[in-house]
Amino acid sequence: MPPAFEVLSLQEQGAVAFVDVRWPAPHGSLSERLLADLEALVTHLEDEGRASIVVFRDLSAGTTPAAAPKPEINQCRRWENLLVRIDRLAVVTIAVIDGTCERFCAQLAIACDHRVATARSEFYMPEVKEGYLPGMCTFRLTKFIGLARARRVIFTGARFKAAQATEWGLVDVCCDAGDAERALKGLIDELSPVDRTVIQLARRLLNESFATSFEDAIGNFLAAQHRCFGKGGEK
Amino acid sequence: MKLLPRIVSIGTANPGRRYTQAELVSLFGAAMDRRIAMLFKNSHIESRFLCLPEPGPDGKIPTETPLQLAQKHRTNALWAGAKAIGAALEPAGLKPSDVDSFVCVTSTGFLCPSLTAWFIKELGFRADVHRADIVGMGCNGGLNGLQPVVNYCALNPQGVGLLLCVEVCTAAYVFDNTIRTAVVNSLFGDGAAAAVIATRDQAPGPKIHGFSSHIITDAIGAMRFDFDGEKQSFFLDRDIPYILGQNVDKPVDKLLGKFGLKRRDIKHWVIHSGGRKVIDSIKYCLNITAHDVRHTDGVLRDYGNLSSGSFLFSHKRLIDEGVAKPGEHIMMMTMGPGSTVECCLGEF
Repeated sequence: MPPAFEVLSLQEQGAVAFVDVRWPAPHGSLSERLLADLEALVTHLEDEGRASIVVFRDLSAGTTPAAAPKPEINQCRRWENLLVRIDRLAVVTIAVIDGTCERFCAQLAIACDHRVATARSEFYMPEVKEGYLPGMCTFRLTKFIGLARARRVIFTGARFKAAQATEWGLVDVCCDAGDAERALKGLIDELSPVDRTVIQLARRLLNESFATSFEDAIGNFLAAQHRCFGKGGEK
Repeated sequence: MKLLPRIVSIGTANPGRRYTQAELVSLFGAAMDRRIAMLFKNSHIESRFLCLPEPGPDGKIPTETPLQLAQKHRTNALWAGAKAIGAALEPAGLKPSDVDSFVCVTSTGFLCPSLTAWFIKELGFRADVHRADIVGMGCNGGLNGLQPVVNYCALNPQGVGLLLCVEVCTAAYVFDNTIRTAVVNSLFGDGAAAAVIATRDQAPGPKIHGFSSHIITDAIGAMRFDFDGEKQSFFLDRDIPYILGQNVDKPVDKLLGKFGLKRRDIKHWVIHSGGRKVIDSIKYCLNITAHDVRHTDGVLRDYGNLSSGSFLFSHKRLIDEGVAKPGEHIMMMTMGPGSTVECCLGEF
């Protein structure tokens, strides 16, 4: 049984789990309650979850929100631990964005495997302008869009639209505002069926490819491939 | 609350001298065969301590007789074992005469009387010390040896336990220009590690919660000594790293489950440095990170596979690093012939 959540809801429909987050005001900021719920969600997905695809909905605000308070450093630590755990889940993660995707919303969306965004959506990372850092977006965003673009959007806090993010490879599917459901279903169909162990290993090898020599990578690949064939433990 | 036995201190020593892997390629005549040279080059080992005779006029290591190999094991096991014991007892403020339970692990030579008897005579252990010699269990033997020492200390909370793992792997080297022996000769190193165990409320090392084992009987021949008519020649199956990987979750999760823990609750992993493929396989099958195996990697790089004592070398590095905090859990894992995986759960 999933735990009782306060600020998010989880619907598990067969192989797909839908997570709706009620972000605290201002949208995209963090709260202790949200952290606790997300940590409980990830624990559930690690230990008992049967889904092989997890969709985070509502990773955006409909309107441009006000400035958010700075997070506490301990919250930053917990948040990054949470994103690392999400990055290691034996599921495919998809973020659905329909509006302004900023701050921690943007960090979670960028930590997901795939992003579906409506054309009216935009990304916004104003943290550097406000005197702190947009989490490990400084690491993840660079891998998606390259150092020069990542530096520009993080240094300037410039908003960039879904069409631009699609061109840069950050958004997988860009669709009209009323078409998000169909676009999401199309992506889920493309990804299915998902083998949990294989997805987990493939993601890890892909992520490690940036920082691994070919000689090390081939050893890692053989170890992972043996596990795929043998389907050892998974958690 | 009942106090549990803890690892109080760890001491290590290496006999012989340090050789770089590049030096060994020419000393072992490995450069003659491209495949054998690649084995040495791709081992991820930079150097090892080895007890080798001086090279002959041809620049290569001369063949040693079975008697010379047996003498090498005895001489160097006693020398390195004594050094490691001293290095473990000294920081704990103990002498050999303070030890109540003494277990010695080796697989690279056979002595009767056994190593414990020689150490008792030469180092001044008490005549009534409880002792046991674990011989022939291979690389996993360190945790098989730790268990009786921990059990003794749990039953005798005032007692002091000592584990010694001492392996002179060069006493089991065979040179016949085959891939089979080259795999062994490119991997194993000589070394000894000792651990002091005592029931104390505070110590640099973790308290020990429990152990679990998993033997893969279908792979009983995957790691073995074969008698080649003159010497014992060690064999390592090409696929054993992956067979171990596919089974490693069983003892790990069983032990964690006994204490209501998950893999994510383990902050520190101390894993036997069995070789590059073994480490990769464990890493990907348990879904743990390169950071989790940093000491396992480091010990392999600097010493090669030290067999039973290898995990204690990694454990010492973790303790010396000073990052482990009270309450954090540690999983120790050793793998070896049987084929077997041994696990031990501890808590700092």
